[in-house]
Amino acid sequence: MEDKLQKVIKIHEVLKVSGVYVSGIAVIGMMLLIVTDVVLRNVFSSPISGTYEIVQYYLMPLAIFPALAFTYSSGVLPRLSEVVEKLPKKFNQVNRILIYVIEMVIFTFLTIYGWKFAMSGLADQMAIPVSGNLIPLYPIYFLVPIGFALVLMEVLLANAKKLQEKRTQKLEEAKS
Amino acid sequence: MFESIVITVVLLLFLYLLVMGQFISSLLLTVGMIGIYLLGGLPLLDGFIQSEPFNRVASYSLTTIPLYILMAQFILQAGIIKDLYNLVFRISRGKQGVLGVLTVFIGGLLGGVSGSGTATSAALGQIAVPELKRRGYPDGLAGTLAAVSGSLSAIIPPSVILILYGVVAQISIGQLFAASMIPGILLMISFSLITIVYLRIYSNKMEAPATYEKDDDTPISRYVIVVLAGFFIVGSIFGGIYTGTFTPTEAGAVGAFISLIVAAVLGKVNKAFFIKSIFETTKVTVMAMFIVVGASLFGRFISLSLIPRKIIDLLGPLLDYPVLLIIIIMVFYFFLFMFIEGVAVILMTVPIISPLLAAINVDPLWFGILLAIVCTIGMITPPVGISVYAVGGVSGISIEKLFRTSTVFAIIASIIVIGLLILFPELVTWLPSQMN
Amino acid sequence: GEETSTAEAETDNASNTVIEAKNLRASSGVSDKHFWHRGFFQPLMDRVEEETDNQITFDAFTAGELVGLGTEYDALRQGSIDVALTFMAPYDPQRFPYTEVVMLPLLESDANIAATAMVNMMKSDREVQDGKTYYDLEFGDKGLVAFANPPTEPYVISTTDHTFDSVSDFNQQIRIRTASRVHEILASKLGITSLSMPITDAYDALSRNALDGLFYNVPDWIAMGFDELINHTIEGANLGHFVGHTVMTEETWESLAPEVQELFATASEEIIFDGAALAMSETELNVENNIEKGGEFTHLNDLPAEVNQHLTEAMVDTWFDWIDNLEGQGIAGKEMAMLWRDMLVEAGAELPQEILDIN
Ligand code: NA
Ligand code: NA
Repeated sequence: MEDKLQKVIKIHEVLKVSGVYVSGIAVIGMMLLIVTDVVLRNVFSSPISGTYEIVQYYLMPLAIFPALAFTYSSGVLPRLSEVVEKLPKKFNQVNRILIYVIEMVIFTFLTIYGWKFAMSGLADQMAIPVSGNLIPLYPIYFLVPIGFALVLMEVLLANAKKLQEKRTQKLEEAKS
Repeated sequence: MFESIVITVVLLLFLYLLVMGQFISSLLLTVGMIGIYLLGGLPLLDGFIQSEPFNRVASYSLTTIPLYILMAQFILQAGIIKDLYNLVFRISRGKQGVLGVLTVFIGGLLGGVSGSGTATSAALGQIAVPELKRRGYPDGLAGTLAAVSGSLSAIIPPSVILILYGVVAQISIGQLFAASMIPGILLMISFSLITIVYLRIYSNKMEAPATYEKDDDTPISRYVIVVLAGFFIVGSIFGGIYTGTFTPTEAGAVGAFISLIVAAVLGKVNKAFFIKSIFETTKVTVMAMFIVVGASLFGRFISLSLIPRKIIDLLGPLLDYPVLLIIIIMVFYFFLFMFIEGVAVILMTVPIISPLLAAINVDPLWFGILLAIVCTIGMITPPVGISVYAVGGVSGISIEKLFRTSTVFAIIASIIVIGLLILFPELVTWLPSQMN
Repeated sequence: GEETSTAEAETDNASNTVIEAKNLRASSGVSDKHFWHRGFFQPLMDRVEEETDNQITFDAFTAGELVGLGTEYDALRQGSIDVALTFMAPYDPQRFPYTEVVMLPLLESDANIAATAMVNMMKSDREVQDGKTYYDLEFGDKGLVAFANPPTEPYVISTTDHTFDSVSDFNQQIRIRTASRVHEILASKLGITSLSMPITDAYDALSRNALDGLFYNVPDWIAMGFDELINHTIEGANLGHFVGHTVMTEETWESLAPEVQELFATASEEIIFDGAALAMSETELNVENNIEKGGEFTHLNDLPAEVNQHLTEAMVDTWFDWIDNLEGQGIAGKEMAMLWRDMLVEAGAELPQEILDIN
């Protein structure tokens, strides 16, 4: 059981970090594409057609959704913390559980509806006009449910890890 | 009536979860979703929750967020900012006020090339906060300086807020940009003065800068290189924008690329440089966009509740007291900007408030600038102050600590600047009148 | 709005008609100051509210407050809104390939002529493909009920400093903002560079010479500040109209009483011409304003013969390219182009001879 959990955690970590690389490469790609476009436009009067559409519809979603889970777990997301620290322990515990449940519910919703969004894009074969041609957009839609599903995994695993730690702690206490 | 109950419940839940420490991004998503659900059930929620994340993210204008943060990372890791702050600190013979003013000045300068306060605040949070802290600035003040200086991007042209106001109110964006110059500078001056007063008050509590002496043996040649590099980066961005080589939106990409070249010339670029830049940029960008998506969903709820319209309708009977009306409207906006992200506020209120303004003969240009100031201030006030969140996220300084200082900045600066603009409307109207 | 209750509407003929009270959530992606809103959306909603004695009401959201411009189709299907006021088929040629036809360039026409042509095309029973009409293919088959909004005034070529005095003035150095597939084709036929950028970036780009000009309709100039920047405009080369629709799902439509449906349809077909008239009057306003600020208008026929010919050829070629493009995807581009052409001609527009000769 614990082995399995460890394995899931490991796979999740790999996915999370890969997501960051995908996002980072998308941001670097955005920079290079726009700069190349600016240079070609000004020096050779021949811009890369479709820069605007590629950046907006492909690179921006690629830069954001894959890295949602990593960002969620990185501690960079802001929240108020001072009041909570001063509250009684029991009260805090209840609140922490409440917030966990809420997070689970909202990211489940976002994943399910993100999936619906992607599937209806697939059904429509969603495409956008880029310099006279239609380029398929629907594959990018799948980044939405994937991104939120990874966040959901993160929430669930963070919980599981905590529970597991508590159990081992109790086990060790019982042993001694 | 039903909507009023829903909005009351949702706002109470909002405040509760906020205080209980839920992530701001999750919190906005939560209350947005609950609010929409309460108003129209699952069928209504369905549509917004499906489309909102993608539609919000797939935006060309928002590319400034990742690209300015990438630029900040490159500049930061090239060591340029550290040396620059050192240099200024040396020249000013250890006077800490100068560094604070420098930060405000850099914020204003970045504001001249960035349309988004969020992007600039996050960038300043990364580059300026560690330097200020190293020289004895308390956490709250260092972070607040980054947040308020970054928020200046929202009013100093180019500005997303002003562009949007121009489109919605159908006023020339060029005139709005010209009109916002003087008020933007007034805000910079106010922020600088408040910083100096703060430092006076806190001078005894501040730690002596420990690194001052050690940094002293940096060779002069290094400073020369750094100053040249800084001028080169700023010069090419401004030069590029003002000669029409690229647009302000594209400037983020060009600025990042030039910074990368400068870092390469300074010999800082290697694998670790790229990996660090990628991780930091991604984290900060996604954090900001997470909040933007949440704020957008929350904004949809507020729109659907029709509450802003009902409140504005209530103001109708005050048409005979224009000055009172303007003050009430500004207070109303102050509260809206407290809870809701700036772009959403403009979209949901300007169409309904403009007939009211026309009825009392208020110049929509002047009003737009006032609105942009209140919006700028709203970015640094609780509970939703996106500039403060951005800085808190990148610097790890507690949000409460930041809000305690930033709220003081916000209140004093708004009294000074808004007061001046009400007393002397020419501060807004003079520059655009010189345009033709 | 899902709040529904049944109430008796007092009708003039006292025929005891019962209209179910209904509040409809309507969304537009343009500002309430826009000529579409003032000339069509608001009067249409007002008239429906009035004539149903406020049994049918609207909560109107403008400027994309609720649903962003161009995303209305999904919002309708997902139930976020009941009425899409700015349903922009030309932005979505993958799912709505036919409406783009109105952006094809012609010679002389105006918003009123285009409105007549559009209203007639919506009702035309001519088969375009697989025995279906334009309306079936674009709306009916998708479970939508649509009414044409007033088309814009003609799109025109405007520049800040550059003038087209010879054919060599059309070159890759000239950067023009375009906003549709058809105009990208036209730009490439003209030999100039087309750039896509948000319309809100265009003021800045024009003022700093990052852009030489744009394809745009005159009544939208002042709103974007372009009247201050544009110095040269070619008239008489009409680069096409832009048209949106006011759309509901069939489900929403069926939930309305037949007399309300009747009323809505009649009102939209009447008010579309008021909207077109408003757009035309704002052309005059913008032109005067621009001339006051130093702008110049040159008619296609007053251009040097070679420039005139170059432009006309590019316009004609755009039709054929567009047709080939659609036919290549198995879509009846040619039938559609002929339908729109005939509707235009019947309404009084002038088109190049080569287009009139297509059959
Ligand atoms: Na700015
Ligand atoms: Na605020």
